[in-house]
Amino acid sequence: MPAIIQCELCPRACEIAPGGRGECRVRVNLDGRLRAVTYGYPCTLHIDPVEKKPVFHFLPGTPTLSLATVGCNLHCKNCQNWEISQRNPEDVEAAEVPPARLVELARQNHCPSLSYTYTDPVIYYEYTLDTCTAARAAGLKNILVTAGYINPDPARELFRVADAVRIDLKALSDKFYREVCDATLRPVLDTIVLAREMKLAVELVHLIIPTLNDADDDLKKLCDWVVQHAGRDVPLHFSAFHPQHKLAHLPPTPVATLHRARDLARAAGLQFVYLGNILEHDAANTYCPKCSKLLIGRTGFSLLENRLRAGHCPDCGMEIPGVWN
Amino acid sequence: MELKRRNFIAVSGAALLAAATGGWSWLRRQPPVRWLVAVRGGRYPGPVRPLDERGLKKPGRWVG
Repeated sequence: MPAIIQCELCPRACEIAPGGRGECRVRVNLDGRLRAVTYGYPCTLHIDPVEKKPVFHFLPGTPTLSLATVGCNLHCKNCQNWEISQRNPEDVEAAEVPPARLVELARQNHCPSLSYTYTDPVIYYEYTLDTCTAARAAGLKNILVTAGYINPDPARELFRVADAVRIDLKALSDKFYREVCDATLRPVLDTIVLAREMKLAVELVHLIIPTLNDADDDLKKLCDWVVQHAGRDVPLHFSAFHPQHKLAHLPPTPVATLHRARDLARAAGLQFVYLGNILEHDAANTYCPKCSKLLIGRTGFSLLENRLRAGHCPDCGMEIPGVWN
Repeated sequence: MELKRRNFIAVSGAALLAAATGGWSWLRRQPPVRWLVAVRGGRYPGPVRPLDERGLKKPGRWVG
């Protein structure tokens, strides 16, 4: 009798009956073997500015070849990419692009990096791992854009061949993760800490959803955790929520809430705080934490000016954490 | 209600049979086989289109 398979990639630990699939929709029990059915088949592939991930302290102003396959191991009610993250591969078109071809495309289009994004590279783990390995061998960098819901051992293996990771920290509340994302909090925190320990360039994104995670206490708790466990110099992006998917009934995040979050983060000691999903002067600029002078000017996803000199402030000389070239 | 000997034997027999059936099912259940890294390759289960290389540079609609 074909065996039930237990997938050990993420904390869901799905037990998959023969012919069945995991919660991510793309890891399938076929003839007693666990198969990644989207391996080599991205449903979307684009060249984006790296600032769009958003990643601000890693090769600013450069293009990054960005890809995803269908599926996701979270089921966030507010997902902006639900049309690919919450669908089965049978229902979504894809192109055949093996890892080596991805690397070739990045090189042909002068992309110094590849980004594994849009859905979650955790669920197309093997494809990400193999492409990262090939990209590194070709002298290219790898950026993971993820919710961080992965077990420590596979995370460690993947981080060995990645250079930067942008992790969604959706709330510092297990209740939020369970009710909004159908997941749990602790594995995400562990992933953030692991990424720092393994010396990846880490940036965090927190999407502020009115009535769900926008209270001052929630924001303060989150900022305090980041300072204590990830460091003051980790860039933190507060992102505006726009009504979407199963939370279309909620209002969008007011700009005042984003400003309040930024003030709380700075008061907690965070040095690089950005506002995203809004077009506002100053929201995406980088300032020197020591002398407050403008270092990098951005509007939206566009780089306007970069005044850094060999990764240092040109005015006071402070070293600014990041990978600048 | 008084339980007569015949009823007692019938009820006890049924209980033993139920316990034996459950025990047998429990013994037959194989523990799941643990997999970390999935098998790579194979046919994509959905529609496959050629890669649109010209479309690469057009802005995508997805966030992130």
